[in-house]
Amino acid sequence: MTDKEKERVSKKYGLIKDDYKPRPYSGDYPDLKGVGAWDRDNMEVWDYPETKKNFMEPGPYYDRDVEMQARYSESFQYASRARLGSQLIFVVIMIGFLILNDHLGQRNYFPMMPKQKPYDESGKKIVNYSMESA
Amino acid sequence: MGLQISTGFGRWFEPELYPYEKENPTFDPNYGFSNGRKEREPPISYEQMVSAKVPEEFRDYCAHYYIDFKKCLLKSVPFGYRCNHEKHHFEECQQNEMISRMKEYEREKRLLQRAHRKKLQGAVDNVEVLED
Repeated sequence: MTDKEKERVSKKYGLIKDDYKPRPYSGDYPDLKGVGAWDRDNMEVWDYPETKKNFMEPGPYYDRDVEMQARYSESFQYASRARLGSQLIFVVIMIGFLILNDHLGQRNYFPMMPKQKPYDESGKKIVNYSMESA
Repeated sequence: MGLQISTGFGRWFEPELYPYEKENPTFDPNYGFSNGRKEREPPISYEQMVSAKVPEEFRDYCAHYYIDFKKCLLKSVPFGYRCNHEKHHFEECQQNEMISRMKEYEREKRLLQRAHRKKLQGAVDNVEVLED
């Protein structure tokens, strides 16, 4: 792209020449960073107060619908990697505790023989012995 | 609590020395008693248990106390506290039953460990160990 062409194109999109940088795969549209309505000044007098924008203002190429929302913010962080790690450690510890608990619970038991019953299910007598000698 | 932990860990590390708690005793019940042991007499007949609709888990050697307790409860609705006497008898019987079960386990465990010791000394199987 020649210098003259660059000047023409940047004028077309309302930018100064040094700020212009073409966006890849998008013709001559400039590569601009978006600023959401949440981050813009409330007290300024905008041409369009709903989206806090001025007439013919250059904006990013993408998603008009998202950008139109009043609380859309480019600087908001939805999740962070460090937090994900701590959550993962928490889950691993909890599941490990459950497995360990189950394992120990299977190992421990109260030292008793099964209950002695006088009759079986069909009503037949079962011979059991007490601890006294005859 | 301590028994539970010690037998649990003992069975974990030396499973052949500790009996399994869900199976009946395997050794001869009269071994070691010169005249044998006393047989336990059922308190009431099976037909009585059935006609009194005793649940399966209470058809044991405390069934008569259970029936007395339930009879009293029916008679004194809604003043269940009037049957505390019968309830006490029933629970005492259940506790004694539990103690005898623990004694049975202890006897089984000691015989098992004795058999194991004898086996290490050269005897072949449990029958020979008992008749030594």
